[in-house]
Amino acid sequence: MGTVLEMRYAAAIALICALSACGNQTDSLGGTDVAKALFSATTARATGTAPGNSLGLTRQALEQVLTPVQLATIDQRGQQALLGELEVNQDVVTWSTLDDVTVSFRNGVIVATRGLGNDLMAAAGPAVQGRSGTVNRVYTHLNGEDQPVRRTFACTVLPRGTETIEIIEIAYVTSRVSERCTSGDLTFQNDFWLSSDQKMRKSRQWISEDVGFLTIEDLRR
Amino acid sequence: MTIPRLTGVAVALVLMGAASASAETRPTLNLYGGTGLIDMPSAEMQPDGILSGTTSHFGPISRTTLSFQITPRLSGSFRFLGIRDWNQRFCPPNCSGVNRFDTYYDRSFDLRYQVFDEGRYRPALAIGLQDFVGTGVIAGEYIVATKHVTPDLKVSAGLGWGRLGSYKPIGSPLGDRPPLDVGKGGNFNFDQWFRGPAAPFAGIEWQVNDQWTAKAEYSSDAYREESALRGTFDRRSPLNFGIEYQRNDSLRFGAYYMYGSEVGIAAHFILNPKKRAGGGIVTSAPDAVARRPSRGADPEAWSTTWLGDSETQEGLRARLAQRLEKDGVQVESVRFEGSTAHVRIRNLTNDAEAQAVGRTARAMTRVVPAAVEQFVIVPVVNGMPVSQVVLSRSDLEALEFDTQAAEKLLSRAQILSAPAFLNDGLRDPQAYPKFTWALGPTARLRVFDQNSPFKIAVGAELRGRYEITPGLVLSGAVTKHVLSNLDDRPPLPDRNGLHPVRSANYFYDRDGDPALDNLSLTYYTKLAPEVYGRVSLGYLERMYGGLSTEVLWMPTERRWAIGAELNYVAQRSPNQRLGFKLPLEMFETDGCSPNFATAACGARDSYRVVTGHVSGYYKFDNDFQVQVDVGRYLAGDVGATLSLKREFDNGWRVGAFVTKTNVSAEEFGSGSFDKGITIEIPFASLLGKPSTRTQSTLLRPFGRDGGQRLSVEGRLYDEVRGYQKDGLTEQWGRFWK
Repeated sequence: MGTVLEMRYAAAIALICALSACGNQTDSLGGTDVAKALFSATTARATGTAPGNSLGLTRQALEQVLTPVQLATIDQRGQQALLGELEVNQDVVTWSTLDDVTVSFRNGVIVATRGLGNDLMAAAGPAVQGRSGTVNRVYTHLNGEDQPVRRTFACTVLPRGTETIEIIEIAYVTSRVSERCTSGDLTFQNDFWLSSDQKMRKSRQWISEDVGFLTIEDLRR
Repeated sequence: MTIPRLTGVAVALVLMGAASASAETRPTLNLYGGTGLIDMPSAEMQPDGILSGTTSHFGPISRTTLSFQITPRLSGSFRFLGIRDWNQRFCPPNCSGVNRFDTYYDRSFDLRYQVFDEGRYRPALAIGLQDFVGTGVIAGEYIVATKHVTPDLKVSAGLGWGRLGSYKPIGSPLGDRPPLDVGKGGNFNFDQWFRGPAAPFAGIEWQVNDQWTAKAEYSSDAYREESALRGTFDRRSPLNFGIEYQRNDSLRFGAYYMYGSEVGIAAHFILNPKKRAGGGIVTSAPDAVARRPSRGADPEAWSTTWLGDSETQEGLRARLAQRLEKDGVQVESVRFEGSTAHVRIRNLTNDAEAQAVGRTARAMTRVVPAAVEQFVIVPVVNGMPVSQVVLSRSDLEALEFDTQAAEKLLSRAQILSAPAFLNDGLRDPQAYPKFTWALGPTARLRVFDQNSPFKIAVGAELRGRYEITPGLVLSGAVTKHVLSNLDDRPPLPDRNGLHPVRSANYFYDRDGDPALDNLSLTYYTKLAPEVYGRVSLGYLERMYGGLSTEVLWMPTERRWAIGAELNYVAQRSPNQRLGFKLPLEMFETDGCSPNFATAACGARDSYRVVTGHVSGYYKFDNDFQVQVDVGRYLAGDVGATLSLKREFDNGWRVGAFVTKTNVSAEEFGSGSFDKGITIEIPFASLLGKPSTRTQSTLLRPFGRDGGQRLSVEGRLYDEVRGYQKDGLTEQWGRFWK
């Protein structure tokens, strides 16, 4: 009888905890988490969708927001979030989402991200200029063994002329500048849309091999 | 259908010499789980660090192999082999010796060394030893060359000895092969290597595209024992053909037509410890560094009047603790001293110790008043302050977005050993006592018994941990199986006079359900700035209970450490409750009926032993770590263990160990001496989320009673080393993450 009860008890607990380990341990990741992760790693493939407006933002709603806001889109994952200004360290401004992802900018160019996985640890380079030519941009990432990998990309600046873009119901006349950057086998292209007052209205910038590109749109008027 | 034996090789070699294509194909694995063609090896290597598992089957033959690229030029494999229909021609009537097995199981080790890699005109060249320590049933040696003819077509050709020289040999270039003296297995068969008849083999591999590969080979393996002698399958041709499909970086499948008569299949699982699934650990963003205003702009912020105010300081401590909670860092105490702030922390979730330190430093820039310039962060493990990381706040402010932030900060920081006794400062009154518990799934495996290679039980484990004061911990775990086939009785070979210190594990598997896995009280303390101590009392592990004591001398700046452990333990009852009485049946073997009165089979109703070791640890520059333990083992035998591990900076460890004691090979039984393979995989790598936990796997081809150690939790070296200078700096890049 005792054994039967014991077994039922164990089975019930096993059922409760089958999908996620229970407990009050801060570090409560368990075997099932590992199994789930391995399963998703072998079956799932990230599907990309084009940046849109998945948050249902309207200009009317944005008028109620008094602090500066930017919209960030992870192109590859189609995920969107609003960014609010968090901290300034000299010429770098760090913005944060509500769920603790941060993006740091120097003159509108992304110099760091945190909370995205394979983050951009740091970057250095000049402000975006409308003149054709070449600039160097330095990117630091961590490899799979957590060692910093610092790469210098040679970027060809390509002025693309005037483009009218729309950001939540407002059209802006901008000049678009592309930078095609190469280091070894790796090539990517960043795009920047600057308004006539040299404000960065929109940009699409490379973060890392795994994260891909981040599109940033300035939602201020 | 046979190719004239030398022409094929000659053609291959001519092709190689003529070609100058560079290697652009993937090095693939063969049915032995090593890099190669189908049944034959090639001279290629996997990328450094690759860990692969292969399961392959053709006809009556099944092989399951674990391979590791130990260094860029050296690889090793451990294999479990099964041959069905083994005794069909002999039993009955002759069912003795090896003929008693319907399916013959064996284990084997391989090593392979690449002498040079492929050049423009030069082929890669490798030499290999297959099954070089075992019973030598599949023993063979080879020398092989591989060259790309076009960027996606490569040719391999080589010469094999042993079983790889058994089909149409060309003579014995290096002399005769002496008969094999198997003994109990496990010995190096030096005098056999590269002796006896040698035969050529060759093959081509065409990588059609990124997914598909076609292979064809001429095998020099006659399968004399399996085919001609035992008739387990019909070997009609030396030619094998196959196609393989690469599903993604970690999964590959193959289908083959083998030896003119059999169909074969294989699956390969490939893990790269140097790469994380999904690219990186996903953590919430850390606090942004807050730069202080200049003294001129805000003199108020630079005031030091708060230094005398314990209430303000208590408020600072609480704010810091609250900030760090989401980062998995617990603030144990804070102390302010002039322009220095000392913070003692405990890392709860960060797989990279440096990340816990980095997040503490960032949070401090937001909480600590401007007048404090120096941060001293002390990681504490089980109440023992390990090291102190001394940082200048100005550096944190200046380097936050520097592309060389990690290197620059490390060169300016100091990592020192922490004193044994620290001035407490302001403690968190809530930090102790602390109770944590977890209920999760658990599994127990029993592999490589002679009847079936794989047995498993799955169930639930309830763990609890009660930290009474810093360093004093009561911990325990209870397990209950839900599904299990561990109750199947395996063969129980004779123990040759040794007490069943481990080999009665079948009885522990069968009777210990539910089981009190462990329940012990442990006290950790730092005895001197570089000396740590531990005392554990209770049910230390599933088979032993008693007292365990340990000291470790581990200088912060050095690569070595020395430790000593002394234990007095009694063997627990197989039911794994509270008792220490040993039942008669656990002494039973296939050839012996136990009796307490006559002490037949060495039966006794209790077992106590003093066991202990002196251990030396050394971490080499190149990520290899060696440990030597000398002492007395559980069976009272005296000897030494040598362990060698490849340690990746992100926490993966792959290693092997051997133990030799004064238990002779005869007494030890199958395998001659204790040895095994260890694999440790950090959860963080698998999940892409921070976790301090690690999945450890130990593979022992023969689990016997000689050379067995107590398995006590919380051994000091592994507890402490991550917070030493080396442990903190190997993942220092994570300081800024």
